[in-house]
Amino acid sequence: MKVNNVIVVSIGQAGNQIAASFWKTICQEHGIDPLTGQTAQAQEPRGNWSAFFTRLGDGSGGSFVPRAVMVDLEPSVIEGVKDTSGSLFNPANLISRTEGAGGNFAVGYLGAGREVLPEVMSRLDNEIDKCDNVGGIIVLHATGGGTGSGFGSLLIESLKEKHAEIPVLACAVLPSPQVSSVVTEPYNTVFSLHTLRRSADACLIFDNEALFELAHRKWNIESPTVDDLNLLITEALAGLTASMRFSGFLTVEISLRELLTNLVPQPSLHFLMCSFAPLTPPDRSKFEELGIEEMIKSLFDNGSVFAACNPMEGRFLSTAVLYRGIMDDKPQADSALAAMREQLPLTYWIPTAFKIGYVEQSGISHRKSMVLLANNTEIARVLDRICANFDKLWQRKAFANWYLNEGMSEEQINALRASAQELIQSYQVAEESGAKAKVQDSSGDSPRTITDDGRTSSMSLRDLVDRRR
Amino acid sequence: MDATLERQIATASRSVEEARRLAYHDPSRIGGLVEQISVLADLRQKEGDFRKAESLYREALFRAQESRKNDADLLTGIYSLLAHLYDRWGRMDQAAEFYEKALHISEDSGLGETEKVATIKNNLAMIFKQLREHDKAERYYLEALETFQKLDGEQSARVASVYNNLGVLYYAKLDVDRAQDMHERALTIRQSFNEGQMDPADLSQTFINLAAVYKASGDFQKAEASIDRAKRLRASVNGFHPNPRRSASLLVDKNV
Amino acid sequence: MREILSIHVGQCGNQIADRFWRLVLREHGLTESGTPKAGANIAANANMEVFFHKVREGKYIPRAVLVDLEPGVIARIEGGDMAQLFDESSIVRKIPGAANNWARGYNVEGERIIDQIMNVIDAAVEKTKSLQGFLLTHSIGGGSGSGLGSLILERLRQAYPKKKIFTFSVAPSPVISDSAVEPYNAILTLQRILDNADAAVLLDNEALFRIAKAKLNRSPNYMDLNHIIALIMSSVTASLRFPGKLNTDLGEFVTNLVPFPGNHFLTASFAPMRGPGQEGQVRINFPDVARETFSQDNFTAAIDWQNGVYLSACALFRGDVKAKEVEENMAAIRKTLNFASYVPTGVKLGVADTAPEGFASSGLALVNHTGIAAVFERLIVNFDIMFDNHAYTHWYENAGVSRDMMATARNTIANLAKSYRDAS
Repeated sequence: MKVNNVIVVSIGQAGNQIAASFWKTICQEHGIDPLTGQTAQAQEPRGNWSAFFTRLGDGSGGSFVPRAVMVDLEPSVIEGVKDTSGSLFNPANLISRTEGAGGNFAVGYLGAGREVLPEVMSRLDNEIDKCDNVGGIIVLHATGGGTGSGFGSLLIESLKEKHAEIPVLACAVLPSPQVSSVVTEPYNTVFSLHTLRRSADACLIFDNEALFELAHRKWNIESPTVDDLNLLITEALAGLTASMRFSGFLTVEISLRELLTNLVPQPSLHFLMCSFAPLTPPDRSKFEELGIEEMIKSLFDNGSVFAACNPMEGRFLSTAVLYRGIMDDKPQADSALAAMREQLPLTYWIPTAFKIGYVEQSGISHRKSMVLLANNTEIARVLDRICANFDKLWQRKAFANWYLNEGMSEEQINALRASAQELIQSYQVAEESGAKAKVQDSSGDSPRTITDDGRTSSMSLRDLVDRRR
Repeated sequence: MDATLERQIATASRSVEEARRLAYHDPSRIGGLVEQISVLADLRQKEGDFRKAESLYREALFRAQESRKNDADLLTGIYSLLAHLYDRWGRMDQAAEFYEKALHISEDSGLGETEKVATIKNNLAMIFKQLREHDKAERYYLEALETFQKLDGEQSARVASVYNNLGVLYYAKLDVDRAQDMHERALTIRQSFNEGQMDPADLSQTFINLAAVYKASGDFQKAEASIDRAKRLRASVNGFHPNPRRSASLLVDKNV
Repeated sequence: MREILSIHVGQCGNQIADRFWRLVLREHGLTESGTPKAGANIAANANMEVFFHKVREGKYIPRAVLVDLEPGVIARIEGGDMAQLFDESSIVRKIPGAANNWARGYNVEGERIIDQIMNVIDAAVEKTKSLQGFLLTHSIGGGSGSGLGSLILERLRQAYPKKKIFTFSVAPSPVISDSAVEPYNAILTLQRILDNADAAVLLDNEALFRIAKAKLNRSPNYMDLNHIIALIMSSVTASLRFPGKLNTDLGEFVTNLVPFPGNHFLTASFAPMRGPGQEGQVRINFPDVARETFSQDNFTAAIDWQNGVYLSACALFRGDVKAKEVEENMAAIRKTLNFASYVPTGVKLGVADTAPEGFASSGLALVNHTGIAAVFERLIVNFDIMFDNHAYTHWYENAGVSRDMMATARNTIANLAKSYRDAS
């Protein structure tokens, strides 16, 4: 059966570590051996495997290859993936270089990144050709380092230029001082925000600051490492892609584009946060199972969301809850979700934006699980924090030379910072206007305070760069 | 609608349904489906139902586009069929559009110098002439001519046809000298064919076209002589005497 | 022969197809492979041709075209017990899906696939001797059923101007929403239904859910809801297939139900309501059947009964009923119904011989009530609030549906609602 295909591009150290974990997980969900890409006794993999995998060879003995492209500017992570993933991936799609980006966005965007771009685009085109129909491209990357941020931005821009009609979902890991030690993180993040805002169709953020707290408190890990955080991210990714990878009698198939249609009310307001339930620690998940109502409560709890902010204190512009697992609880889940919806601070001018998706097949770690995807105005708080850290550095031009020497100018950097500020403001405005009472005067202010950003009006990062050259 | 046509359509319909069933499970059968659809569409045109024929061709087009991504030959063929349909339907703008699409595909995939492409160019030129875009028409006739000359050499019925068409075009542009040149070349070729190869209708048409050109340049004697020869040719074929005055003013294009 | 061609579009439309054809097979004594059941009396079933095409002796296929932009539902039908039933040349499916976006279903995806769909419909029509019309099932809040459904409606009307087109349209529920952009999709589709269909039966999931829950002893699922819709659809065509004392066909329904052009939005009720498998369990006498049929909470759309009047109504009773009993009971019920003052006549009645399998008798009501305006008004309220704030409209503009088009549709439906209110 033909289904929509999704390609996953992972960039940089964090991006590729997450990708490795993600592909391993979904291989297991579909019954594909994560080392060989084959199935037991040459059976068909479970579910709609062709969404994320292509078949190599035919008949018995064929193997299933992820629709994956992995890129890094330094070799160690990709070499590690090659070592630990056997013959799963197509080696031509694992692209690395030797020098690294040195934690510098400009290297990834202007320097070494430009050199590796043609090869990456060519592998991507190859993957696109193999698809029956490209339902979307998911980009996995972190914005703190140099490759994920710089090359990530370059790639997203190039992709959208060449294939405007393919939806691109950027899954971006935001940095936190508790987790990593790259001093220039705030710079790198703010610079990539511009592309994420302007070129990507939507951006799902994973805030390391919140993830760290979660791993510490809920999973009781004394000093969480990056691997622990990546497990959390993988759960969320597996959950959100489940409705693209399975169908069934009661399953609601939701394509990537459909998800975005429901979650993105205006082109500029496309920054999403997510949450996952149950958050029982992995070693206990087999023994402790939460009831449906508890799970829903946990899902919407301020402390569960993968972003350091309090969604219940902001406004939900749009929401999607995707849950999977045993069907007996479905009616109960439906009514509990309806009840929860009543309590949420919704935006009055988006009355219907509460999408519910259901997949019968369970994930591998939990029998029943839920993913929440929310377009919530509290994202402004997260972005504000990053911008504040940026300002501290930029005021003194600390470490700025690295960027200026690579070809960026002060003017451009100021413009990029301003762009991030505009994004924060548009969410703040959305929050204020969303709070108007349901009974509205027909006279008086038309709530047209939200204006479309539009892709044509704001400058492209490229334009900023090219002007200098 | 006569009974034979009706029966043919019924049979063709069943074949298309069968082909759809096969293609449902097996995408490699799309080629066969497109073939069956073309047969039915052609019958629909004969019946006069252009709308249904168009709908069938468009289905074939989209199926071909989504199945094997780069079968340029197949796509070129379908675009040409659609263009031809629009031509017969009287929708010249769409006919031109689809012939151009067919051209783009074949050129992009390197089928530039084939007879298929030359044929498309000839037909497209004819449409441009009807739309009064004479420069485009001339360009495409010349390109078609060049290809046919390369493939067949000068002594070819197709080359003669394109000369004929060019003659008609130049006449429409009031370039009588060039028109005469083209028709005379066509004449030379057509006269050199012997009985079996030659189509007397074509030859007589060239005489008629020449007559019009001679008249336009004031050479009435030559014009009269040409008409005579045309009349005799036609009479010898089927006893039909065309009205000389009418024919002389009609310069007929020939579809390749 | 008065054949009817059913067209099922989108996920919801095809899920309804699953239940509907299952029901109709049983009514005509056919197995899930389209062959007559052992012991079934086919000769008596002379009007099978309405819904089935006889391929050869002993094998029938439904006169149905199944269309979907997502593969899942049709794949499940094919993978199930009805795998042998449908003719594959009548199934049109394509992958990308419409992403809950009317504009994608109508323009982007619809454009590519409409010719194939029309060709398949043409081929099916050619197999009929005297086609009466079309039944279309779809939901109007999603992307395929709404957008592609609208395109199909327009082309169908163009190609077959004289045939009757009946839609069974599942509308967004007042409280449970399926997608953020339902109001847009619904209003855009309603405009096309207004312009191209002869009659539209509006159904909403919430009302269906409430009815199913009240009658079953458990929490209903989508299969149950679709079963109700199937019973309604089957009854609408019952007269053609099982003629009785008072016959009503599609044309008569339309004539009797639609007083003014454009006011052809109906609501339906079926009684006695039982779940699949429970039908035979309770014997119910005729007056009760009639009463249940016309009971307000048995109707399958949430309309405003209080502030509205009946413009027209049809009732069709099937099975073990006597015409005289029907006339007497209905006369009594008619008195209790709040009709518009300028409508002097009563309820148009029909009686058909055979009840759905397992029922001794059953009743269907098709009603044109001005309270249907409430459905439109609810949709417009949600539409306006999003539209004025430019919420989600970029998805439509990017797929070729301008804000102007949307505003026009909105105004058209607003006028429709007003015309209903004014008709009181």
